[in-house]
Amino acid sequence: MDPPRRSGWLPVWYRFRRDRLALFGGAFIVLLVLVAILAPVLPIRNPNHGYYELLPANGQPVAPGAMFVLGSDANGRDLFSRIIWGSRVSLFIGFVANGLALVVGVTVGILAGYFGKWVDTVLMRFTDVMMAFPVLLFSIALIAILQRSGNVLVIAAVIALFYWTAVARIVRGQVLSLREKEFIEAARAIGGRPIRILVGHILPHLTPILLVYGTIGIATSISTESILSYIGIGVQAPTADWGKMVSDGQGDLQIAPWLVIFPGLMIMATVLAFNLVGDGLRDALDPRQRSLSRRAFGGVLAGGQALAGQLARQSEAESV
Amino acid sequence: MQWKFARQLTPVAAGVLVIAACGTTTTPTSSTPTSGGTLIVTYKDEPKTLDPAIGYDTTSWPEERAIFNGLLDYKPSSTELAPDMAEAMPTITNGGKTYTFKIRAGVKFSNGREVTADDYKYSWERMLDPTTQGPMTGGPFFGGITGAQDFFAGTATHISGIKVVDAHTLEVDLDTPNQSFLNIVAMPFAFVVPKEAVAAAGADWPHKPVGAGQYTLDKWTAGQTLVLKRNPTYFGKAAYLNEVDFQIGVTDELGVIRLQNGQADLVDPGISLPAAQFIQLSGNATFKNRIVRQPNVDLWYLSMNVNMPPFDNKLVRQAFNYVVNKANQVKVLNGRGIINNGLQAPPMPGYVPNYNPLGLDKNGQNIAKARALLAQAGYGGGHPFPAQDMVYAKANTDSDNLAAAIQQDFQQVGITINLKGLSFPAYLDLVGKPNTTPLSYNSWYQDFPDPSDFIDPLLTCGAANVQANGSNAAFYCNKQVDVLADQARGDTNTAERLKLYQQIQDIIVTKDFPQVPLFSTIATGVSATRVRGFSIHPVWGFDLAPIWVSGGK
Amino acid sequence: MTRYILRRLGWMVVVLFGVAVVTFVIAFLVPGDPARLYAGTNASPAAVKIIHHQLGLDRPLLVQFGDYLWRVVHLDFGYSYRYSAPVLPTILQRFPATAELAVAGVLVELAVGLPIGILAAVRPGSLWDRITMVFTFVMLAAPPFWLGLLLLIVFASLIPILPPGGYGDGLPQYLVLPALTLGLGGAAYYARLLRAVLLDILPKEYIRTARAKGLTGRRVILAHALPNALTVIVTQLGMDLGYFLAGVVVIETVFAWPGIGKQAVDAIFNLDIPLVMGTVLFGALLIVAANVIVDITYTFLDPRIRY
Repeated sequence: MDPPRRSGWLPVWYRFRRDRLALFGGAFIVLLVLVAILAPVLPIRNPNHGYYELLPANGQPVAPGAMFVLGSDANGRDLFSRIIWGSRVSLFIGFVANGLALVVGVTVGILAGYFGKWVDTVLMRFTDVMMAFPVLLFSIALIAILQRSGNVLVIAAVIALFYWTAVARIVRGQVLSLREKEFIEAARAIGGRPIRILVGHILPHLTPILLVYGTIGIATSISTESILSYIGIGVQAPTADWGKMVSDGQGDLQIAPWLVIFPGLMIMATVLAFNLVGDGLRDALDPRQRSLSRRAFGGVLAGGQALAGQLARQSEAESV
Repeated sequence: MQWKFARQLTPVAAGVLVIAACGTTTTPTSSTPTSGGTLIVTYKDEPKTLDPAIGYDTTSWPEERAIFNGLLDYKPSSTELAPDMAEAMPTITNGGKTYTFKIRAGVKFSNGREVTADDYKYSWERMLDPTTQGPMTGGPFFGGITGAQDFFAGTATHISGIKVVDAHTLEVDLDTPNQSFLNIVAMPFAFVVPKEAVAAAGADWPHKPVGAGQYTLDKWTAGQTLVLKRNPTYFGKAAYLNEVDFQIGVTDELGVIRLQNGQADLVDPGISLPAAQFIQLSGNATFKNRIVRQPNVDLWYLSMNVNMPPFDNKLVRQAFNYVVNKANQVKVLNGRGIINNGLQAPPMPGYVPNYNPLGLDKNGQNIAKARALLAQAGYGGGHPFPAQDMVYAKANTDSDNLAAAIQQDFQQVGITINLKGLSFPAYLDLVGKPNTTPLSYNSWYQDFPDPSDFIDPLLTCGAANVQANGSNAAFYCNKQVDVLADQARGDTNTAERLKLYQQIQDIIVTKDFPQVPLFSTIATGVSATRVRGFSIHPVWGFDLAPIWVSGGK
Repeated sequence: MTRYILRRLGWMVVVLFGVAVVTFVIAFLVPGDPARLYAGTNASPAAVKIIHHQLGLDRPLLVQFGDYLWRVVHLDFGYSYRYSAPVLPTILQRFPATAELAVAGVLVELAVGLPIGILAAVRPGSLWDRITMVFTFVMLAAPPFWLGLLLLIVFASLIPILPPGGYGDGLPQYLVLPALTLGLGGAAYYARLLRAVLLDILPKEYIRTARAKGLTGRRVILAHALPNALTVIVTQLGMDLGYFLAGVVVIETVFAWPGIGKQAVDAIFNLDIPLVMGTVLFGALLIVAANVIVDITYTFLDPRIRY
């Protein structure tokens, strides 16, 4: 996956736009980001205002209908408004957690891959240790022990704490193969300082793969955040958050299923959109191979990519 | 009951006056109890222990009470005490400081040995021994027994105030008279255990209990089942049921479905029905008449730390008392609550119905008055009220919902409240330390149905003067209240005593405002159609003794 | 070969040591005195002090860590406040339920995932292929807790043919929904994985030869490509089982399944740190062991790999 030259991004776009699923995902993401940014000025109800006067005496949530488009929750709050506002938390954590993971993962991966020897050994053993943890359980324990449940930045940091290992391994694999390439050897031969070579020559070559895994990483982060909130250590009430809304609504499953159905749909749609775009980007950046998993087990970068597939599977397997 | 997590939103108590106020009693008067059958009870949580010296929660006490017993117990469906293993109520001498209990002869532990006064001395000292690591270590409730403090400090190996007069006579001396000592003796902590069985089981004792109660433990598979069998050597009236089968780890949602399918008889009877199941069953032809309701002996309230700004200003505390829409709080609980403007719970002696000295409206508010008081305190205009964190324990979804409703109420008077929901241990840590938490949302369940339990641990100087683990979240201390509370504790004249508690209530609610009383809850429970005699006990919540099944073999 | 196995086992020890260090440090981050949680919320300061000493919390940190490691090596993971019992037996008591669910989940992954993957690979680009691939994308995106709740709405509430959660003394109908929820996401993954591997193998020389000999597409796949693809699947399967056994936290929570994941989550909310950290350590052990076993098995499955 060589980086496209400056003019080379255009063919990538042409190829990307032929992928209708990826385009659809991209459009959904753009719409979601717009809605999230504009939520305060949209003509919708305050997501945290409880219309107690509209609830019956036994406190049963109001079903979707004329009063509330998607129904109300047990506090008489407008589910539609809460879903709109929930996008802010999901997207924020998705971007921040993924950004942190990329920064740490790229740094560790580049250092390990480029310098090799004991640097590689130490960093990769540490990565092994981090990957040996039952991630989800450990994240929950960490947030609970730090008593910072409800703090979105801490939640993002804890998600990043485990996801960076995947990035580090992919980047290391890439750097290992890049290091042997002629232009890098040439740069080294003429006495280029490591930092120049890393930033000037290696990093640009990582852009495509970071773009792909960055996009998929956002999906992973959003889905992990929803799980943390579902378990009960995510955002603080009354903040509208999709995972927490499902969690709060599940007790009312038999009398108010809409409280579970709609927020869950949003999580699924958002994760799906980011995954489709990530997959589309991968195909567009490397026209020789078409499918996500196919690339993972064939082609020039077999080692690193196979690993990436496994890592994606790990976070998938552990989030259950 | 020390802000018991398990009892948040759980039914524990009701009063004789209001028993079965709404539900139909589940026992048809025509039928007489029959023996036999297996009762199937579903439990969401595992009982913590079966060691009466340790257990302090709603899932442990019902099984402890089935296996063990003590000198006194409450009558069925009543807050009135009666002798159990004691021959009669104790004689009280020495100005209310000496209690003499006569123990029935011929009462046997399930291992066949007879219970004597020595066993009580052993059991009580074990329960108070710091190495037992039980919650009574260090002095709650039993600390007033003469010599207990020396025992805690390690300067005495026995408690001098617990005396074995002869094999069947136990004498207990108190430092000062305490009218609730009989309630204390009826707590499961004071149950009798055989020394040799405790020693033989060692660390496994919480799982291998031997007592003198109606039932014995048949088996306990962690996370799955706990089975009790009728104790054939029980001294009193034998249990109706052959066997009680607790199915552990069954959510209440699943439990209710099993109940409707005839696969379960009771669903978490120590915990109120969840909202959805309550609403669902209320509309079910078969089960709507099988829902029992009982007001709890509990109080939910906001505490304002009187030592911390802005609540060191009495005007602010007073203003807060006019803001909360208590009717909305009750609505969030599906109507299963009673607005409370005082300090005592509905079913308790001394409760004043419709107590409303501040002249609040039907929702428990007076917003105009609140605004005026805040202005008087110097807030408003260019000097906005500082945003406050409100600390609360996250027991379940209701906790968040109740807190969110409070947040909205304060927006009306321009006050920002930030919610801070914590796990129960973290919450206790914060509200129990002085100068740490200005505002908290708390609930208090009885340890026993006596007004002293709602004053002494919550609103006295002794309870405020702690470094940690306190339960006086307002850190309220008024010498005048303390004098009255001391007087009331030892007063043997009931009517006079209750007057003293009303006097205390008036001082706290109308003059000092350390807390905003909100409501008391109503417990709800349901039983399968074949179950008879099920009701929620005013003190114990789930009480096995009166229950039998029709058609049991 | 023996050297390779020894090296992997050495790696396992190093990683587990690292895990132990991290769990120990985390347990020390707990605000407040563990002795207080141990003593219960009503304990007097004097009682807390006694327990503080009994737990050895007044010794130097390094001594405590040494002691901790010594005990962990001897399979003593500490004492649970919540259950008043030693940690490891408490975990082992719940472990069979988790294992049952994990194995059932893996079976669902295979039973659903492999046929879909094969059928998609037979005619790449066909309508069936496209439909199943979109379907797998959707399944991968569905949050597992939500999928579980939807299954509950449909099969326990609307068409009440299955129990709405719980263990039910091991009756098989209680296992169906949790295993489905656990397995469906994985099945989607396996379908994609198998399809990809098959398409990668199909153009290979010997497959072309097989086709030239007149074998049909289906037979080529079943007889020649599939056995080769299975190495990849088996590898992944071993890892999956490791992760599942380490605690299927979310599924156990949704279905109130009495396994170690649900137990650990309950312990977290009671700040029962020894039980939580014990479960983390136990889970790490399983994951690392699964890794090593998979690596070693791989060398047998794929004779081309030599160490």
